[in-house]
Amino acid sequence: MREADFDAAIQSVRSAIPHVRFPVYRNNVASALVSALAVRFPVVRALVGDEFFRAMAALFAEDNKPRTPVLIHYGDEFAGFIATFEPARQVAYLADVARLENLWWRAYHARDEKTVDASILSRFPQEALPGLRYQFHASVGVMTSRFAVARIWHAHHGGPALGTFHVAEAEHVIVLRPAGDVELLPVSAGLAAFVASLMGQATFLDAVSHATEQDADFDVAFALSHLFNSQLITGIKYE
Amino acid sequence: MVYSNGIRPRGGIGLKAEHYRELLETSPDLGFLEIHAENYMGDGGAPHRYLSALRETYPLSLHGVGLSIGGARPLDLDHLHRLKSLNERYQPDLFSEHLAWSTHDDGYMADLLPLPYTEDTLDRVCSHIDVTQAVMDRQMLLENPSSYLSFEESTYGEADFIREIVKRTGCGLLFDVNNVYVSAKNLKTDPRSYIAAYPLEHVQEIHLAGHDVVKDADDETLLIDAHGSPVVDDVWSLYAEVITRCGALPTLIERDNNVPTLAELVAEADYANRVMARVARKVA
Repeated sequence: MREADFDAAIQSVRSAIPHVRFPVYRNNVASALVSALAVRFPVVRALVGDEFFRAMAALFAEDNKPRTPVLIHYGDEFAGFIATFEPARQVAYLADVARLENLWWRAYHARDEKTVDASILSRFPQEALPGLRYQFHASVGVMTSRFAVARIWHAHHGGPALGTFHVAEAEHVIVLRPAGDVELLPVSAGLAAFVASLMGQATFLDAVSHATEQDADFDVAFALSHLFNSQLITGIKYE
Repeated sequence: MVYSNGIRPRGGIGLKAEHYRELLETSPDLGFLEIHAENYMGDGGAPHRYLSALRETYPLSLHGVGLSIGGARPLDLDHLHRLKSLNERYQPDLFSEHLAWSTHDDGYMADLLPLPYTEDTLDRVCSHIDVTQAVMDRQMLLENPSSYLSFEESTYGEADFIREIVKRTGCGLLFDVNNVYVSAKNLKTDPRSYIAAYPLEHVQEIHLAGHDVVKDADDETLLIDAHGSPVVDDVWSLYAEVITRCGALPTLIERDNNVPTLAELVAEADYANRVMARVARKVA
């Protein structure tokens, strides 16, 4: 085996095999990446079964090499891949479950930060409140799905089993890790829109009007107390 | 934070997320814990919380898998600095990396890939180790690889190549006995001649693991360093011979796939303790 032939062959899974033993390396690479995805997307794997999952993950891995040796960051694009992966179409909610697992994983590894309580608002004059921008804990994520993604997730973590609820029921979920463990909070459409706007650096006033457009029942006072009670906020900016 | 320091010549295990809670609650008698550095390069959360807590009880070995010491490219300094921060934060007793490469221009290859053993590769490996030890401000241990093929270009045997690296860089060695066995079977060489040629006096830690047995396309037996099963008897025998020559050493049971219960891993680490005790009695 010559070094140059080895290097050429390891770089592309479609190149010729230069040695009878060479496939070991190619298989090791594939298997390491598939295993990294299996750790990060356990519910997706449970939903489609190990064999299907490994085949799907291996196809993803062929065209998506990790950019760094820190494999905990590997697989950010996997949910997008699943959404376009024809054989997975039958499980309509699979890509959304992968998006939720992305948020869960991000929250799990997020920076540890202290959150603030609602008393922080008393530092600002009343007339400043509409213009305030909120800073969120690094673990916070929010998503909306046409499916009951949080209940599907819980069904694989000791909650009520699939089949005991309607999967085709829209859910809005806030993912967060205020203390030890990652939590999934099912919320109203309005609250999800409100948090998504604030996280996108909208002012309080703009976030309220966005949420009200999405959800006529949006309750500002409840939403505001939710932000602090659920420990989502680390600070407030006033410009 | 008060850390438990001073690694002793006893069996240890790799730290796995599925064992965090049980380890913390039951504190089994283990010589040390070893972490894959890259699994602790996230910003925060449970991995760091558990590792900080466990570090108060157990000595620690920091084991990198992604630095690409054997690579043709310059070292990834961002990655080296991530290792440095872990080293500063957790003050591990030992730090090790592999005689292998894994990083290419278009990304990380997620495997420990082999290199030929020549004057050129010797120079580049030594320069990478020099940089690593300078930036980390500590000695690193270099681990011998498992091989499935060999390169025509090689002008050094692996044991001599490693001996030369130690001489030039002052690094220490992590001796993976399963890798010795796997390579010898695959390359049809004698593991005992390898051990006889190896600079055992520089070994500070031992790795033991299970391997898979498969057939290659020519229907020849091929051993794969899969870390998915218990250590086999042949490897335990080689381990006893190594310990006879270099004395008892911190010994890691590596298990990265099909991770068993904590109790099973602790029992396997304890088996290493018993082998070390048996060897010590025999030598005495």
